[in-house]
Amino acid sequence: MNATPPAVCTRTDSLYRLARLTLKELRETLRDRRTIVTLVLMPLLVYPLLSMAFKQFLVAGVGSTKPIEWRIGVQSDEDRRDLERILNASVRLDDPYLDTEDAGETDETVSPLDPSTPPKPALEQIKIGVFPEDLAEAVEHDIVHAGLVSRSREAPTSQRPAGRVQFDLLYRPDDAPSRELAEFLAAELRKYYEEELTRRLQRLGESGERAAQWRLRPITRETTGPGSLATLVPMILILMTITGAVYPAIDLTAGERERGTLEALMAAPVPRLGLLLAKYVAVLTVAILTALVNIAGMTATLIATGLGPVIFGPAGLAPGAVVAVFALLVLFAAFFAAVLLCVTSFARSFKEAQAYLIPLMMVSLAPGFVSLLPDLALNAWWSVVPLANMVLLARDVLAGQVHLLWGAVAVATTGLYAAAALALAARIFGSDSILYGSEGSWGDLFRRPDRLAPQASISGALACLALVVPLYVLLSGLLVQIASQGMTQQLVASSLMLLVLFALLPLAVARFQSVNLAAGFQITHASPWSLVGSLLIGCGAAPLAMALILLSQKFGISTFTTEQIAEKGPLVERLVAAWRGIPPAVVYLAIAVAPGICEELFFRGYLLGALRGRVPAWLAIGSTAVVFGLFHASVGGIIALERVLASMALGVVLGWVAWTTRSVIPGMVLHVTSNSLVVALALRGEWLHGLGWNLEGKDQIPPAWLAGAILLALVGALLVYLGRRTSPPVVSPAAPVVTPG
Amino acid sequence: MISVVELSKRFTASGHDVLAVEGISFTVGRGEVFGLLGENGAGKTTTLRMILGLVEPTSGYAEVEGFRSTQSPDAVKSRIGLVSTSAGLYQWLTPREMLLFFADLYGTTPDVAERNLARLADIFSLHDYLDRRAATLSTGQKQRVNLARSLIHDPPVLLLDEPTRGLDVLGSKVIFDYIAQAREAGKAVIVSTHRLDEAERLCDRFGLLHRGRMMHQGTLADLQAATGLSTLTEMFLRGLAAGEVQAA
Repeated sequence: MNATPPAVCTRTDSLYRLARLTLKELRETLRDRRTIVTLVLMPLLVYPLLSMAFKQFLVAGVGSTKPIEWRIGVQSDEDRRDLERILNASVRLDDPYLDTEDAGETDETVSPLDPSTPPKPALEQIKIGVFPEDLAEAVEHDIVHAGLVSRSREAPTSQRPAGRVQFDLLYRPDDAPSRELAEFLAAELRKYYEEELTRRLQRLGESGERAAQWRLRPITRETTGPGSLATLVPMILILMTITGAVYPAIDLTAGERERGTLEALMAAPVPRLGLLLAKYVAVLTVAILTALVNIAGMTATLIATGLGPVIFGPAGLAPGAVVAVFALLVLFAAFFAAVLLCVTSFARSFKEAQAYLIPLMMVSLAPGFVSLLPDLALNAWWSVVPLANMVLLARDVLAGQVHLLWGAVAVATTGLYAAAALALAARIFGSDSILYGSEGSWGDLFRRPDRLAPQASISGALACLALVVPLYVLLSGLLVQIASQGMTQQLVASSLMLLVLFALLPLAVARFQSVNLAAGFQITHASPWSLVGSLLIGCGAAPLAMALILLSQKFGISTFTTEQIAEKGPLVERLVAAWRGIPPAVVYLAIAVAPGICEELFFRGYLLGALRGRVPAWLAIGSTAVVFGLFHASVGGIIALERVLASMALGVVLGWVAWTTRSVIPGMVLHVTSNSLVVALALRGEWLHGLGWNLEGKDQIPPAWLAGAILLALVGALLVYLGRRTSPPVVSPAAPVVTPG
Repeated sequence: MISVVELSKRFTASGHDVLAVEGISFTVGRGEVFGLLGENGAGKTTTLRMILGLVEPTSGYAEVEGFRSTQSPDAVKSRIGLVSTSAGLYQWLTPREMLLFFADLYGTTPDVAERNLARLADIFSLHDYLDRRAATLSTGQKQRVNLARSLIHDPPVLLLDEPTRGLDVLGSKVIFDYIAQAREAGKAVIVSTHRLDEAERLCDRFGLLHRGRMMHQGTLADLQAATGLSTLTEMFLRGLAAGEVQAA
């Protein structure tokens, strides 16, 4: 029984061990019958039951929403009198039929003339209004429940078929009272004119054609998004996905602690983050499996019941949309699994975890249910609200009406929220106060570290980014709202937004995290060489960025077509003219200086500073450049793909400069210089034109410009490299906190 | 092999400061069994957790084979086998699956893990229920599996926190027999137990904890000389009754 030395593990071994740890968590979870019930049995039961309830709702469940007054629109007083006469006739025949010739024009999938439909409206409840011009619009906007258009009367008198009356019945297929009223009117018309036909045949001995024809014309709301029923489906899918993730999340954290296995796990030489990641992957896997089973169950049910077109419109449920919604569910599962682990890590027992999750579910479901409101669009506000953004985006995907920008924002923010939640969970999972102490509380999550740190933690930086992104989206939306104000006010507001979001907020967060602000934001002295070098790179950056934008457009990586860009020309000219109408200093400060300083402070100071020494340089620079590029993708509420590549490239250069010099100041010089050149080109363009430098109408940068820009950038890079700092600046924990001015 | 130097832990519970462990120091060498004795709440478990690196000390430090638990927690953890009073089993796994899983966590190669598993199954008589789901095992069987779990990577240091709790006489004997074997194998062992009679027979040296402080430390002869009492039980009862607090 000789003691053997513990094995030394390489990084690869650790990764494999992590995978095996995940497999063990999955094995433990999937053997539990409760997981199987949630995973398989629930979807098998829920969707057929829901479809039955849904059909019942469509057929008979309108009672509660049945209006007291049924409003019918017609186009003339003559039509109204005819209709009143028909309705008052109250003649009943036993074998109504629909005009087979016109049946093809009916939205057959809706089948409003289903004989199993409920009792008809009482005649005294019916009100008839005259809408000579805009009857279809009145139906569409719910001013009337249905409309009756006399096609016979629309035609010139000479062309009207003798003895025949033709009607169009306008109704909304997505509105139960409208469908019901249309059915009622169709039946009444049918009865009246069949009786009329019978009378004629008897009187004249004719074997004439049918006296009346009608066709159903569904009116869809073109100006609004999908109905609330279409929102309900992704909402149910999301709820079921949550349900699938809840049990494993509790079991693998609070449950493990309650059973006493967590301590044994924490006693093993595996990093806490590794244990948490294994649990996260296990919970996520179960959530994804749940989503997969649910989406399969829902799709099968919709196909089997034929409810797809009723809910999602005539096209029904497209296979591509199902795949896209599944991808969204995976993303949402990634987010919610992290939130669940974060919350359940606090709990000391299964029961306590359940008590924590109830308020969480209530809070989570509120925006989800709000998103069920009809006509709610995925906009700047809703795209950053967790859960609601996924519900609305999934609804739009199913309806084939996705707004690219807000959809991208919803996806990006959800991914970011997931990362932030996981970072918070890592902070508390298995900590000694949670593992053993009775003193562990929610306050631990926000407890300030006792010692001053030289850099922000990755989890802290992620949390800050998760705060900045939605605020950026919301405030950008507010900026658009004040577009009617003067240009000075707009520029001041824009600068203030940058100052708050990219400077004051990160500084406050870092201060709260007990980060030494000078070191944490890399606000340190830089060599004169690096400053001069950055200035030169900044001079070359603007033409190179422009060349990249043009290159992107040339290769089709572009949102705007050449025609669209040409159309925007006058707008840009008006903008530049407005800039020229105010003092140039204001324009330079707002467009060049403020972004240059504030963005560098956040992206290269705070974010890059948090990654330094913890991840390889290429990953740190690359990831901050991607985030930087995505922040610059939006132009006037639209994603401009052509800008992404150029912004990311600039982000890489700025990241390299900050990494090399260990200071954020050279990057500020570079950024401000580059921005200033763009502003100068805009304000003093005619001066360049006078020199024969005119880019208008050109699809590429003149080679001489490019060569000059590349030369400047290379010389600048050489100077930055010569002025690099190889060792970190000395930071004393007791150093006074520096607040940049 | 184990050095504990001026180790303290202060908790905050319900707004009050609680000094769970106050400046205790001791060492345990190879092939030595150290008994950490004291009433409930004396700080035994907290001390073991600080040695392992599961609880961060307020001051002081603990080292295992030269590795400080606060600075190299993984190096310390890989050298220790912990048997805890509160340890449980994964209900949906079999003992074999669980033992091999923990062997893997400690970086033990599969063939070595299998050999260790076979050896421990012999020592603790696990063969009959090695492939049964853990939820179906009795308390004693679970405790034996737990002990095997803490030894599956054959660690040079053992921390045993109330290892015989819930075990019958036969089960307790198996544990104490194993501790004797561990001493023979040159392992450093710290045992926290209420079974003072067994501890007296088994441990080479003792540390008597009372309210977080080390009252007495040494061999049984040292303690007898210091207290004038003959057995650990008498010393323990005297200490409780007098509320005696003395620095070691």
